[in-house]
Amino acid sequence: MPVDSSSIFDAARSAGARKVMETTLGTAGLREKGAGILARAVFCARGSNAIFVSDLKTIIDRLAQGDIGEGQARTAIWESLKALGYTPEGGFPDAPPGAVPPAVAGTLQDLSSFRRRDLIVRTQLQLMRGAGEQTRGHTPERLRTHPGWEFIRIEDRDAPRNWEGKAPTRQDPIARWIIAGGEVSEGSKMYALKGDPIWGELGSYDNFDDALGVDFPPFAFNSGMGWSELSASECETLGIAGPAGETPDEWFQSGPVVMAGKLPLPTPQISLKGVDPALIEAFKQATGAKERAGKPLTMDYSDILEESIARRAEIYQKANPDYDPEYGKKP
Amino acid sequence: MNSAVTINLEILGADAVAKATRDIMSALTDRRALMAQVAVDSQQFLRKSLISDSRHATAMRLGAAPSGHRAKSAAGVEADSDNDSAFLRIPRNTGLGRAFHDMNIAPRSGKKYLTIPACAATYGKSARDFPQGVLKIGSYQGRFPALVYAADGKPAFWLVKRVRQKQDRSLLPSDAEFGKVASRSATVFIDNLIAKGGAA
Repeated sequence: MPVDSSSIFDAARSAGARKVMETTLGTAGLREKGAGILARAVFCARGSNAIFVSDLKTIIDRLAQGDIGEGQARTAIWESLKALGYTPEGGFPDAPPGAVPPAVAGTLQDLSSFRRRDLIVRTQLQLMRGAGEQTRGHTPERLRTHPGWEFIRIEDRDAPRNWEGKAPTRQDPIARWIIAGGEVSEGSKMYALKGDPIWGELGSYDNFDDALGVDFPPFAFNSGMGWSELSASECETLGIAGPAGETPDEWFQSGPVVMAGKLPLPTPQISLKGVDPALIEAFKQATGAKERAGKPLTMDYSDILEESIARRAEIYQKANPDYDPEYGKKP
Repeated sequence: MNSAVTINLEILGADAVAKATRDIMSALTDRRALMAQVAVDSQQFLRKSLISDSRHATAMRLGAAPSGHRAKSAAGVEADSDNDSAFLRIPRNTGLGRAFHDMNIAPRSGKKYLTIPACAATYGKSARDFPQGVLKIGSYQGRFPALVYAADGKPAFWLVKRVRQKQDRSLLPSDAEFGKVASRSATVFIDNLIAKGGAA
């Protein structure tokens, strides 16, 4: 199996573009900062020590690159906190007095607790994965082949948020998908075109207290939600349209903007007009794969392709005596 | 240091095929969209396969609730493509590289031992996830080094100097299964071109 040494996990690329930001604010306070700043920052509520936040960014980068696992990341955070003299009661020794209220050991407010370190690691990793998935999904060719996202559960939760209206609570009585401007379809499916404002609304602080201020999964702390790409034919079958009823083509032509910037135009549609139907059929049939000798896990279609097309060209030639497989129609 | 395992699905040999084939190839000179289709379909296939895999041998042996490691691994699978290839990237920390080779795991960062969960309460956790004083260094039956609970001396983590895991190709779908997905994906792509372009 070839291992691609040049490939860098997109999540890591996303992390690499982010800056560190130490803060004495809680999550609610952080929301008063601009969303644009937060989207480009590794932040941690109550993370008032610049060295800690810098360490945190390094740890998350390594996690995203696959160099360490989640357990090792939690341990590395613990070691950083210990080295910097952090205590739940007193916070960081160099923090201005009263800047960070004391935390009860073992609670989410305690940066060194398992729950808090686990939440930090999972949230940051999911944010980077989500950003990476969005980046890859918004390339011109992916907009063409897969113009939509389906919003799906990727991890089970004991007390799931009320995304599609199935889990109403006093704090969360209405389906979040509806609040964000969507319609829950038959089978409680939630989907929309890429770049639809619904994705930004779903992660907006203005709509939901636990939102992360991003327009990609996980949208909210510990949501367990993610995306699956929907192909052009699935979008057509499901009747997925833009906010004003646009077709996918019309929607992308209108220049939708997401937090990361304007979406590119999809790659142009390739036309097979004029290509011999028998050859098209041959091509379709010929895309079976086999392993290349000496290069395990590299699939080579060309041998099968050539054999199959030659065979079909022969059949076609018998049925159409004027056809020459080398030059098309005989002169 | 390599950061990911890549499964490389390529369509090669455009120059070698007969002119008749090149008629089609000329209509597909820009194959980025075709490769994107193959990449996403392969990603969705692999994700479903990982999620539906119900093997939780260690969790079952320890009587612990599964940690959802497979589902987390599925979420980490990335699909990418260029004009010639469709790629799946699988992060190394998923451990799925063991599908292709033996894994030798040794302590890093100056540490002497690996900590292997010895009971349900420590499954999916590391020693640092426990408050100071809960665990102490000891041994089991005087022979096996372990981190034991300070309260009752029962083993929480085994301490081992290295772990060797044998290759297990069944951790991922077979090459033939990936080939089928890629084949179906390409067929659907061409069908869509015909449906939209009115070629047939």
